[in-house]
Amino acid sequence: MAKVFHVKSDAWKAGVKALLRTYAVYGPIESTFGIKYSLLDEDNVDKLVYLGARIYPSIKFFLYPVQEDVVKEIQPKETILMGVKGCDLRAVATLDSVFLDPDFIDDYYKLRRDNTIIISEDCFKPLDVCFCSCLGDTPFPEKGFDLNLSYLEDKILIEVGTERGQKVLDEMDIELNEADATQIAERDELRKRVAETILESNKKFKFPEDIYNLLKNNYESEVWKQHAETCVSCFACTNVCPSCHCFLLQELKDFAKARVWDSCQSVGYARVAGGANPRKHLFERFRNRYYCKFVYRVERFGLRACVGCGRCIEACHGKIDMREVLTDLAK
Amino acid sequence: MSIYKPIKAKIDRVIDETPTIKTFVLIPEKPIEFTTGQFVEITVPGVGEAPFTPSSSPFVKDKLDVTIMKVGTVTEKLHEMKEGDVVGIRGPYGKGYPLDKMYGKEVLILGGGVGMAPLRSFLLTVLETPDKFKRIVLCYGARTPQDIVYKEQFEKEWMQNKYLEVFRSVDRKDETWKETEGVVTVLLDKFKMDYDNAVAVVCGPPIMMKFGTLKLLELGFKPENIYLSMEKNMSCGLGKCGHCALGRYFVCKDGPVFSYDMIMDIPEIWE
Repeated sequence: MAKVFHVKSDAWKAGVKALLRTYAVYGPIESTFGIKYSLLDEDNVDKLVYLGARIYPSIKFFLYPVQEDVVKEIQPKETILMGVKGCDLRAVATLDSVFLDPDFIDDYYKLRRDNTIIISEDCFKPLDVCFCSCLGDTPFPEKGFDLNLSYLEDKILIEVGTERGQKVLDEMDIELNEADATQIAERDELRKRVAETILESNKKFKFPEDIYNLLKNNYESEVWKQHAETCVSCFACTNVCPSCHCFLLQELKDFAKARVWDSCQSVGYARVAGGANPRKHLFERFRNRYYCKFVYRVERFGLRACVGCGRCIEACHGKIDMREVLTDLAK
Repeated sequence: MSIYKPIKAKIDRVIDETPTIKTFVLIPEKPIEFTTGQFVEITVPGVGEAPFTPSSSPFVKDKLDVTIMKVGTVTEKLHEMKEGDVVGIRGPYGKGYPLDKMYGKEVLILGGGVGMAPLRSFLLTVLETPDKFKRIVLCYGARTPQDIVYKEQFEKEWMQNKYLEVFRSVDRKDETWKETEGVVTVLLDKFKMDYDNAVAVVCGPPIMMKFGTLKLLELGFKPENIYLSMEKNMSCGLGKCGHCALGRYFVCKDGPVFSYDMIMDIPEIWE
């Protein structure tokens, strides 16, 4: 059983300040433009918020920048990411499967990954678009974190996930007490309630947890064409998605290259030089995103590549809701 | 060392094959050891990168040929390049032809147009040890006699080789053409093979791959004995960028050579 401590909220905040001396710490802070991920410093660290929900952007932006020169050397600073939710941790696992594939390790991703300490949190205020529980996932982190925080009324429970997490905790120099069974039970009760809230708020969407088989049987369904009608091919869905990994290798000067995010929603994405294109029609590209997430990546890497964070639903200009698409497929 | 970084290769020679196809003989700064059917990524500095399967024998170590048709931005620039110019090269990537599964069998090589490029590499490989195969048949089709690649090698070497049976066709003949007229699949009616046990290696434009495969199945070839070189948009070559995804496969890692039974259930294969 992993070690779980409890600390007072104030003590935790003081501890975070101590970390600023050694690490680049990013966390969600209150700003004029709403809550956003920022590099914390002495001035803004007090504005650190415990949002309770997953935030934009996803962790992908930190580990896999929009554009990165992949020929020159980089030395990223040791970084701590705070406020990461369970959905994003599951997304990191899917990115790992691609970029840390032992056959070809992407050193740029690996370096950032190795240099990033993740302090995750239980989600306790899910958004309307969140649907992780409908996929059988949990709104709280189960693995993949260095430290995980559970906010209870006046205290924080800290679960240590790795030795590195323990080291960070030691550096915070705060008084730690091991959590007792009552506190753990309180946390677990809250976790259960959050999961129920998510199921409750998604009641009108009816699709099975086993989306793999749902899709396998519906490749030719008219639903793809119907829902693709309002798609404007803006790539917002793939950009905000924490598990989308596709990129273009852009040619720079002197044999240098950059990898730049690309989208399977782009018409030229799969086109070959001779002009052949397996996904000429918009609905085919639309369908491909679902198949990639729920079928192909399950078959290729053993991991579903949708984590139920609902960012694509929020971002869509065409008001396309993945949950509605799945519901219509299940009809 | 970045997995994305190419090494340099000097263009040693440029051979005009047809009005739109050239063969480039490259000398990489370090030898690139490949097995036949694997591919490399070639960079035109500042322009772009594209995948090509070497058309030379893997037994030749210091040089490597790529036969390239002018069809897009990168290949147009390549066609402007001359002897002495430098390109980038990385690889080899993917899985080539599984020769060990072909030993002792009748082997059919079915090519169309510039699709002869990887097949030449394959052909040169099997001709190194022709005794290991029961029979080697080469069927090649081009649009017109002018569009035939490796003309000299065809006529002076392959058509004279006692281990090799060669059949050629052109879609539209001219006054010089004495061989078959018609699409390449008509050649398959000109001879018989031990279809149950024979293996076929197919490469060409998508439409030819499709009808070639259907014809082979009709003749009695088993799906697992038909090897296809799939042309998809292999960009990184490393199973990361996603462009060459074909259902559950990345063509760059799991291919580019697939036996037909591996991919027959995937709807997007022929496009």
